Amino acid sequence: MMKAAFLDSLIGKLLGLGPIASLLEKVNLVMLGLKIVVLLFVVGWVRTHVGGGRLGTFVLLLVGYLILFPYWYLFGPLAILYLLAITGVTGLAMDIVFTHQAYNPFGPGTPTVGEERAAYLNNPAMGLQSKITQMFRKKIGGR
Amino acid sequence: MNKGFLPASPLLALILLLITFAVVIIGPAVAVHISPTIRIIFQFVIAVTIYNWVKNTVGPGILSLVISAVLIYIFVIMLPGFTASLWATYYVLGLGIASMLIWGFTLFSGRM
Repeated sequence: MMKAAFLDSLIGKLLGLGPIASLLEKVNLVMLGLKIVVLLFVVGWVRTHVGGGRLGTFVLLLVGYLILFPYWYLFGPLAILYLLAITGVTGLAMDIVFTHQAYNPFGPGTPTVGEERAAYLNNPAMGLQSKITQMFRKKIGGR
Repeated sequence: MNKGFLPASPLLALILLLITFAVVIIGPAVAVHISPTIRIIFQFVIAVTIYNWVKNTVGPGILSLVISAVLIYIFVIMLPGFTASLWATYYVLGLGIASMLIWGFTLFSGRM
């Protein structure tokens, strides 16, 4: 066992996998913490909806086991999404969706990708916005 | 009509916005690794926050102390930089400062 661990470590060092292994260890640690946090959410939910006592303990054990072990592949990502939602990341995404045209170098309303953008920029019927856009395009190197 | 402070280069506004978010996310982790004082302050504040949250969820008692101890060991002692940046990001997002930043840089770009 020790020999295998030593060989693993040696191979990891030879291949330069030390930082990756360290990162994976940290990810594992964060996942363990996330599982405990989810378990606490489950505890709060069971106490609110079922209450304490034997039935509450039974439901807690059952739901906790199902969420944390067999169905973690489903509830893990959901937990991360839930945490992101309650911390306001969804609001941030909405802000970015509403304001992203402000950062469009070719002007608001200009398609940002591919042939659509080229056709839009080469259309002479765009008026003043077109001229500003063309000027800006020349300024940044004729993209 | 040109509006805003950076009308000619909206990309600059975007870059400034990204730099600001990078500072908010990475800054606390770097500060925790550089300064022991900041590290201790962060660890104390986060430990108290975790204990308070666990106590409110589980109720006062030995169980809440044990769960708090495990969480504090993982998040405060083993991963102080990660937790500090998460904590700072949580507050920046929770207090609406991120929305304010996005709105402000939108005005800087002069396009909306």
